[in-house]
Amino acid sequence: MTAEPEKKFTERGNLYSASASKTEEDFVLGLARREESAFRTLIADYSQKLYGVAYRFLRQEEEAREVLQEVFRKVIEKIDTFKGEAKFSTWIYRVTVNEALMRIRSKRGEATVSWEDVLPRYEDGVAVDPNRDWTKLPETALLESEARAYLKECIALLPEDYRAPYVLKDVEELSENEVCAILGLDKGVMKVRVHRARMFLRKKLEEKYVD
Amino acid sequence: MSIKSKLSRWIDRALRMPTCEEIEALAYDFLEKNLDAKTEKRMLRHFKLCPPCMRFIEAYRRTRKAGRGLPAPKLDPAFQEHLMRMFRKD
Repeated sequence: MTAEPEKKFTERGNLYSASASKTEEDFVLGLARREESAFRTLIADYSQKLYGVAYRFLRQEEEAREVLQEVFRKVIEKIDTFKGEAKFSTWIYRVTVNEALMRIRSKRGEATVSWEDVLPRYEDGVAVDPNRDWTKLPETALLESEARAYLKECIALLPEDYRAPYVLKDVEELSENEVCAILGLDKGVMKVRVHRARMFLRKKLEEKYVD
Repeated sequence: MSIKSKLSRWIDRALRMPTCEEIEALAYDFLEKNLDAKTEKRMLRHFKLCPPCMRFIEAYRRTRKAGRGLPAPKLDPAFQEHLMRMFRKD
């Protein structure tokens, strides 16, 4: 058996994968055969991404690491049951999201939002509340670290049914189809939830940053 | 229904602008570029005539942009090695 080429950590904390050209089928087969190279590729390609997802749900590094460890343990144990009906990435994201949500449900009370306070009111289809003018706010203001920290706090206030699709769609920038496949949602439901999450965050940002 | 009234109804529908409420309902698809050209054009026409909706869509766009790629902490390489050891032990 030939030795696996050594892979090194990059400055960004990821493992550098020297042979990332395997097809998904080969990769999954490698995991099922307990090949070290496949597991190294798994770590290189997914550990940081999934850690990011878990952290955005839980907002605690220790808990996010626990989730990641559990996800990787499940991959080792259950890869034989992966039938390839969904993409491997969809499957492993789903495992991660489920694990993170399970922890939220077991440890914290469900967040609630009064949608009446968040969604605009209309009379005969015309908006009743005048919208504030965001154009006076510099375009980059919400990309600064303080605003981003505030946004993270606000995301944590979203009920999990809204937080999960919002995080996957807007923060992780996954496609609509990927988000629906990971969460098992109908596209219409996913869109409504992401829209409402944006409306909630818009209101929160407006209250803090827009005169 | 006569051809004339059919035509009149079709023109009404084609020229009708969405209401402010419909603008909000279409905002997601507008930003995701899911709309057909005709609907998008109607929305743009509405924005020109309705400053509150123009302000709304600008706020909505900026909210979406603010969430993109929010940074998460970097995973410690030592933890990646820990995952690797977990695999070897199995």
